[in-house]
Amino acid sequence: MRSGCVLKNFSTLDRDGGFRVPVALLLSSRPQMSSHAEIHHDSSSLAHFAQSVCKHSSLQVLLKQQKTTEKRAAVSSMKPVPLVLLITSVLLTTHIPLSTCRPRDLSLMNSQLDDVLLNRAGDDAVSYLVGEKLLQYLQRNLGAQKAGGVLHLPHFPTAQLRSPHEDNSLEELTEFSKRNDDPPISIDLTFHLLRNMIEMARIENQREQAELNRKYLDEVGK
Amino acid sequence: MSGTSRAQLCFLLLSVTALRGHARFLDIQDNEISPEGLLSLLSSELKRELPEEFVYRRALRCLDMVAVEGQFTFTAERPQLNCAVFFIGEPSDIISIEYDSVNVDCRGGDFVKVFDGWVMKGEKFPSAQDHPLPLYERYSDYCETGVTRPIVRSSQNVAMLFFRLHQSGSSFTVTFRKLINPFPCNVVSQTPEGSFTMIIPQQHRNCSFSIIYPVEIQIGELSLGQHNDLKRSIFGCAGSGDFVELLGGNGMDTSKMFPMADLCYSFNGPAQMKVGCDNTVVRMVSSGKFVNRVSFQYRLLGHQELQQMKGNSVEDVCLRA
Repeated sequence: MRSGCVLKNFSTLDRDGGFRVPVALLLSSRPQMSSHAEIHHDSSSLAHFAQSVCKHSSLQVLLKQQKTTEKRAAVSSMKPVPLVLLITSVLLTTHIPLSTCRPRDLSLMNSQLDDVLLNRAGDDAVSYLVGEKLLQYLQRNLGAQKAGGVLHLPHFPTAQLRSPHEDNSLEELTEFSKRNDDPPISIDLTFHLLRNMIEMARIENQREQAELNRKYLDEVGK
Repeated sequence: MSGTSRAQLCFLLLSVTALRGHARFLDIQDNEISPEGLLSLLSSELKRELPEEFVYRRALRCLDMVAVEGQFTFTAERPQLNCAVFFIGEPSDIISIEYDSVNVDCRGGDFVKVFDGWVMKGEKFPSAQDHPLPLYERYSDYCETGVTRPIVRSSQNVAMLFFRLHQSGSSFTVTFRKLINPFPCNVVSQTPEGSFTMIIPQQHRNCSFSIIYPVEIQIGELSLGQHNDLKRSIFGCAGSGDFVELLGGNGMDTSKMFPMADLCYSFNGPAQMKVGCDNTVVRMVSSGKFVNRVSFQYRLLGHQELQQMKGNSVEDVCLRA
């Protein structure tokens, strides 16, 4: 074993140049322990150090061997397919950034906000509502930064909107403002007039259908 | 682990690490009213092109009702500020309106809008509860989307065109077509007499059949759901997801009409009811779990019958018997 302890060579070596070799050997096999292999000129301390290092490394080697045997045992007991599936699922979940799956993100809401503010803030009622909603939104999102700067909105009934509804409320507001832009188009007709119009349209339809049938039959009959 | 399986596993892991997950969402501007792109190839307008000499043409009036397919032109001889054209088809039709040529001044305040339904005295048919789209999506403005989407389709057998032209000489031409609707929901009847079978095939929606006359309705067959639940409450059909109601009122909006009768159970065999209102509606509410079907006939109530009903009834709401 390369990473094995070279304690057995230790006692036979000289003081200075000699014992650097096993330490070098130890260092080559356990590179992270190079910081420990500083200047230990005292042989006793070095012996202690070597013993502790050996113990540590042997322990670690033992542990590592144990782990690999355990792992091998586990791997050999487990079928390859579930293991592969487990590994692929772990790797795939770490690779898909979840934010790209979400179609609604902040930039969309910002563009909606701009649309609402610039284009539709002409109507008084709508601009008031827009202002209130905007205030709420800003409060909620920047409230953490402004300590104690919370404004009191007097008598605003929906001030306790929960954050999942925040997006919906903003969208509803833009929709509502769009709706307000449409003039209330309606025709004041009585049902009597409507019925007469339908009758006239039906007569026209039947007459035209009869004309079309006559043309088709003339074509076919030639 | 053997060498080959380990090699395979390593190869698999390498290939998996090389993959990246990407999510795409399709942002289809899918408006129910106007299909475009691939769907337009499948639309039936292309298949039903009549030859030129067979197309019906006439001029439109400021207030008009159209029930025949063809090409209609409106030319403004003087500024026309509030004009509406009603389109109506058979119960199993849906309306398709195509802008052929529009010569209006959009920036000058002119507009040409198609509404998916009918609006009268501020009341809409179908009501907001019966129509799949929100109100602002039922208006289709030529000045906004008419160039990109020249064909507008309704969801039922009625549609309207609103327009305002300020300059004399402005004009527009539209082609009106009727397309087949296999499961009509929300119908305005053209006639005071007739029969109809309304089927809602496992859809969670409400459908209304509106007869704008005082009529006697005879329900021949009602099939709601698959099993009769005896635990229904006595007071109407509240709580059950599938039922049929008869409404009567003096407006177009079914949500503002008065319930004349509720039918919660399936039955065979005629059940009659006279509704003496200006607008009589048979409305079916469906939960989506079952296939619901109702067949009914209707006939106009004569003047004498109406007088009789008026004599019998003490209520102020429109008459029922």
